[in-house]
Amino acid sequence: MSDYVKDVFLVVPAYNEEKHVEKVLTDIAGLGYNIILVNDGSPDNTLKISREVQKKYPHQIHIVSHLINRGLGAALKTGMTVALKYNAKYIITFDADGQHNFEDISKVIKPLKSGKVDAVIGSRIFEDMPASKRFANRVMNLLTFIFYRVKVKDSQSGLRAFSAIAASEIDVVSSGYGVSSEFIKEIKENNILFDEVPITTIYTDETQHKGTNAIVGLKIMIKMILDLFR
Amino acid sequence: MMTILLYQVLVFIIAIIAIIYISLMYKNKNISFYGFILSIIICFLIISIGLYPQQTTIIAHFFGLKRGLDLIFAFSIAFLMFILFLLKLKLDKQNQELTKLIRKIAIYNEEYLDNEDS
Repeated sequence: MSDYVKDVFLVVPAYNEEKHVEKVLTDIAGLGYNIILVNDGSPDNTLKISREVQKKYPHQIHIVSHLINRGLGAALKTGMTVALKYNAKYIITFDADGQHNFEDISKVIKPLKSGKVDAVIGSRIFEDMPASKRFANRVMNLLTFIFYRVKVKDSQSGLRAFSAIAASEIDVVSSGYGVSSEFIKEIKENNILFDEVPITTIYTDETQHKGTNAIVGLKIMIKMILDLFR
Repeated sequence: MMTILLYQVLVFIIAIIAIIYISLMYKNKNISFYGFILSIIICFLIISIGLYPQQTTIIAHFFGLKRGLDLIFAFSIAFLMFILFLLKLKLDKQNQELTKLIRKIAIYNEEYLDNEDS
């Protein structure tokens, strides 16, 4: 394993990803990165397939499994906690549905390795998105700005990178998709320096059905309002 | 002489049954002391409104409403919304606690499997 990737841990939350998890794990492990796969109580064969792939890369792939589904935010926090336990120097969150391009991993690590920032958000190119998703994501950017006073290009991106220091300071409590905006809030509240790098997204019928849509957006907004009373 | 209508009798009986039920729950330690006191106060309030409905009109006038019934509806909706909000916060808290527990079990299991492998 090269020195460049040995202290990099990718946190991959997976819920019902039996179709993609094998390829995602094999491809990332093939690049030499360490992986914390968090099976979020999937009723399908996600865990079984992951364990099979783990046999090929026993020192790189670590699997943590939630007994019941707790949502994206909970899975990410579990994965980050485990990565810190393994003394990760850099932690990257990476979706298991195959929507991220593997070449973007090195792009989000680069600003961290240069030591200029402690967090990097991969910004998807909105022009490449289907119209409904583009609208929902723009609304979420606006809401993130209104509630948390942080202007980012893509508040709902699943590809993020953190230094170990930043990851230990960030404490997210949102269990669902609201975690994306909460990461931005935590970055601001902990005065973590961050950068944004453009990333490409692979849109398939499946990935379009997941992520931010109007209903998810509404749920996140209610969560943001309720957070004001905490 | 005060005329008692059927609905007033029913309200009275239902409230008394509720008081007995709440008292038994408190005796069996199924509700807290504050929950018990609050429930009893609400029951007595319901009895008072049931027996003297015209009194609510006086209070309604004080709040700028014409009918006592409007006042009861307005306060009931506000109270229910408040309870709903409290329940939502409490549910969120419970969910967070459950997530913490699931996380601890997941990390423990991962460590256990690691030790088994090595």
